[in-house]
Amino acid sequence: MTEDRHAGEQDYAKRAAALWASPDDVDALDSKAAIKEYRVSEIRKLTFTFVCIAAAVLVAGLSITYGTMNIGFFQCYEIIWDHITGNVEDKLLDYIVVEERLPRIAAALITGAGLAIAGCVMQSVMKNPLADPYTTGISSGAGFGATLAITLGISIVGGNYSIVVNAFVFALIPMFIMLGVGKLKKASPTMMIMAGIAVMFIFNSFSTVLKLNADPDALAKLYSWTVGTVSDCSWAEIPLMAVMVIAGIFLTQMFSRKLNILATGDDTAKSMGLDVENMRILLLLLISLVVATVVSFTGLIGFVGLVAPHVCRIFVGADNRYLIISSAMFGAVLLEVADFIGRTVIAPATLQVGVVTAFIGGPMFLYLIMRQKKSSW
Amino acid sequence: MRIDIENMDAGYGDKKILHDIDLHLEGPGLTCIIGPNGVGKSTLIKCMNKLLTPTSGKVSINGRDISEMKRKEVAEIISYVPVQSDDVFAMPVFDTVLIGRANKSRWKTDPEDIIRVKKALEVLNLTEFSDRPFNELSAGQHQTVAIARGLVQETEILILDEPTSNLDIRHQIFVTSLMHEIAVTKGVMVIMISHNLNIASMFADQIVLMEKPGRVKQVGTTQDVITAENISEVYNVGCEIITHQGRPVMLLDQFLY
Repeated sequence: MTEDRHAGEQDYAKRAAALWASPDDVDALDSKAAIKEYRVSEIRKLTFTFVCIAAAVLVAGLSITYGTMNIGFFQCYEIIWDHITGNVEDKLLDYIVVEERLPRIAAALITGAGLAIAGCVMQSVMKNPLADPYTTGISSGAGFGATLAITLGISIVGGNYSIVVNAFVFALIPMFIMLGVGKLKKASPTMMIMAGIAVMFIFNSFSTVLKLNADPDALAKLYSWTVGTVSDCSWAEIPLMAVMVIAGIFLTQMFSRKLNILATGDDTAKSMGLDVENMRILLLLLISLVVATVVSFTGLIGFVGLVAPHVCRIFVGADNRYLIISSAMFGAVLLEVADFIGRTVIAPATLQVGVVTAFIGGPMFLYLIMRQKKSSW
Repeated sequence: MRIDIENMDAGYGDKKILHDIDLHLEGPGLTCIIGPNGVGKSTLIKCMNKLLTPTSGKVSINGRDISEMKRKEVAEIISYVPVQSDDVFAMPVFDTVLIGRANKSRWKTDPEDIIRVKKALEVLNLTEFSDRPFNELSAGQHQTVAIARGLVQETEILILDEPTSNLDIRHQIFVTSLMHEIAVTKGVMVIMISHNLNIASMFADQIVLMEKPGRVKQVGTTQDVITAENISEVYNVGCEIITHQGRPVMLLDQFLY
């Protein structure tokens, strides 16, 4: 265009020309500095995840040492190593570590990771900082399923797994209702969360009615399940939980870039080629399967799904490529620490892990709210 | 590159916004869509990039019927800058712009992506905000970041919904002029909605004037479209048009009731 149109236009032309640099620019000095700076920021984000992994290994060691029989910190790693390599020297110690103490630690790690990625993905997909397995109704659905099995003995399958299967199936119902509302009404994420909360109240009210006429033994059992614990988990359950959670982490990590696009807003995401509605449904379905699996074995453990992603955002930011994996690792450590506290704080009695997470999670969430700079979150 | 709209009606639910739109735009160049509030400008551009499905008629991009194109195919040709961006879980500005490269890069960020983002931030004077969280910026800066995100997509057509609505007069000129230069230098077809008729007149190669109830009144050069008659008829505002540096400039006169 002509130069007389605007005094600074020549400058604009130069600016426009600078866009979409040729690949040669990658070798320019300032470009190299920018690339290096970005790589450093990537390492910083990944470091947090590695710190969490290291913390998980350390806390696992600490947790194994604690119990009626004292086992040394390094000794416990030796026992595990000997068990893996088949060189068991002391069968009693091997039994205590591998069969008694390790399953609950493994269950805490897996459950923590599963709940944390669930919270992380739900918050990103729904663009709502309050989204977690509770506010989307999954926990109350699982709770109703368990209540049905415990109080009335009504279960989909009989035997030892009646509560687990009931909890799993009923945990999925709120998610299907939420997704149905989303699909039929082309609802916004906020409307879907509201539908989840409505379903939560419906299931909670049914559970309350069932509890009113339950006998004291059933109520005690129900209470124990409702507050959540990993102490009942054995090696029989852990492979299924582990497969679901690891698959969940792997798949959500694969979709992490699409989650980032989703975060820009529905119109922008659609304009970038993303099938927003179906992506939302796919991710929520995937994550509800993960949550349903873990809560059906452990009961309702609150706050991990809500708090872990928020803590991780402080260290790694909101980029889901780093946030999902770091949330998984932080959630694992958080639940492991909570379980360790539960076992030690009022020893020889134990506090269930769900109670401890509520004690830790509540103040932690308050702190996170107070440190936010923006009122909107 | 071209966008053809033939006999198109569009709206939301039962509410019809656009009526019998017939519009043929060819690039490269800067096209500004102007018109009063509620006339359907945003609805029109949403139909251009498949964000909204018309109730009748046809939209084609480069001769291909958009209804037969996948969303991803449209995204390879058109990038879109909305009037407002979500910022619930805000990333730093650099990462926010980097999302624009998502269709062109792998999981790991390539050096080329980093350079593209760096250049876009420099061009839009955003380098100093590179590490700042997106939600801590002003509304105007939000818009500029969204423009940067649109630019790094490197598509042949760039559509912007009121990109200057939160900007001061200096930055309105800056953004509109830059869009014009990008159109000229990079051979891009830029379509933007604007409410500042004088700035649109300074830089647009083509103006689309819309009128109530959701129709295209006229398409043409600034001299053809920005006339006192058109302005008073469409906006119900009296004005005088003078020519400055070969372009029509609107001097407001009075409201017409």
